Amino acid sequence: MVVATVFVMGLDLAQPGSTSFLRTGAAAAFGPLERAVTVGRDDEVTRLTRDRDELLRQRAQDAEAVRQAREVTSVLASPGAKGAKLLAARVVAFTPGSSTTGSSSGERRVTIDVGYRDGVTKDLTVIAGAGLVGRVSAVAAWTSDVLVVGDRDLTVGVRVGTGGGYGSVSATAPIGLAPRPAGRLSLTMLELGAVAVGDTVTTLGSVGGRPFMPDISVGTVVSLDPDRGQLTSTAVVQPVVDAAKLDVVAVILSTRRSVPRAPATGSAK
Amino acid sequence: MRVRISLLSLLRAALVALTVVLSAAVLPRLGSVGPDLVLLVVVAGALLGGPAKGALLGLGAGWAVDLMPPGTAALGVAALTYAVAGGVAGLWHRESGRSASLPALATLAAASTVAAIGILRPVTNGWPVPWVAAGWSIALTTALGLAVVPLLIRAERALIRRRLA
Repeated sequence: MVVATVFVMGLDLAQPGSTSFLRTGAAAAFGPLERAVTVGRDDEVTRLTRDRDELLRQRAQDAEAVRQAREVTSVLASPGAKGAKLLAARVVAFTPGSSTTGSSSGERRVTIDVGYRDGVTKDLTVIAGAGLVGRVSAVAAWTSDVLVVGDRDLTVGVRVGTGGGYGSVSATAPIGLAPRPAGRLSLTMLELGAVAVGDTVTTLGSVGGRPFMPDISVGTVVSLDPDRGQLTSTAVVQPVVDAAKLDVVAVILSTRRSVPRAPATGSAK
Repeated sequence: MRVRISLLSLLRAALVALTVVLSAAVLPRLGSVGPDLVLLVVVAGALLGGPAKGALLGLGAGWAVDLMPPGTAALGVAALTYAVAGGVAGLWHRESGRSASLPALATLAAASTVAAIGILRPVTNGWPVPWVAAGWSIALTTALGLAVVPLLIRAERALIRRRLA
């Protein structure tokens, strides 16, 4: 018996798992016995535990609903949405992060859960609570694809700072400069003008509000590129919207003014 | 050639659809780089069927990736990429014998193929090349493949043995 015991112990140490049939057999035999003699195992505890788990799950769901409601409120209250007709939407899919083809070649696109049945058409502006998300690039019946700021193919005309100098923002760095850190954008001014760190960058707006409505926040200037004798200055912009964490967004539907502007009389004496 | 629709191919199609939806809707929320779930299904099929069947399965799975919104920039890029990856993984196909290292090697090779084709465009265009992201993607896919691919193969073998497929 002793020899057999030592042999089994050696086997268990040398090759763990090889003796599992012994443990499984013992568990099958003694497990019910152990369960039977356990004190205080009553159905009340089981029921209460299940109720508690259920309530915890419910609370998590409620917290999620409240968070989404807050995001919708924040989108509706954002300056870019002032007076506009908005269609709230959720982001349901992203360009896959696996290195296949998508994000490795600089694509930033998302799918939102509204389509042409909801009144979405191509080239409408999409915003989030913080500012500009991008423009609608393709529309299906119940979903649309949005080209997000930071995509290699997207360039946005902008005004910079209090002076309102014209420029354009895109994901690609100007020729001759090192690539930007991930998530940063490049600002190229169109005219000679001062750009300072901390200047806000807002959209210039397009004809008819397509693809971009005016005065929507795009980002903030975080650093200026050194002067290399180029015609106009370039800078690095931190976008206000994080493309990887998008959830609730809104499509701006109305593009035209509906209230006529009142004329004013000159006040010079 | 008569096309035979077996239970196995239906299950595989369902699995591909599931993984494609997951990798478009769920994985990007968890992190910027994730494992390539679709590739694991392709590798499992390629290991069982060989290079030709692997390439065919990869082509079909790649089409699903291409078409699932928001999709890829050029329709067919993912299809051809996964077809090549499926063919490469099929090179590790053995008629007999089961080795624990075969699935891992095949997954590594397929993931490297996908990553190599993925960074081809940035390299040829002089864009910043995402070496780190590509490396992580290969590592995560291979790590997950170590566990998942043998399971998939075992499940498919069981189906074949019971004449369900």
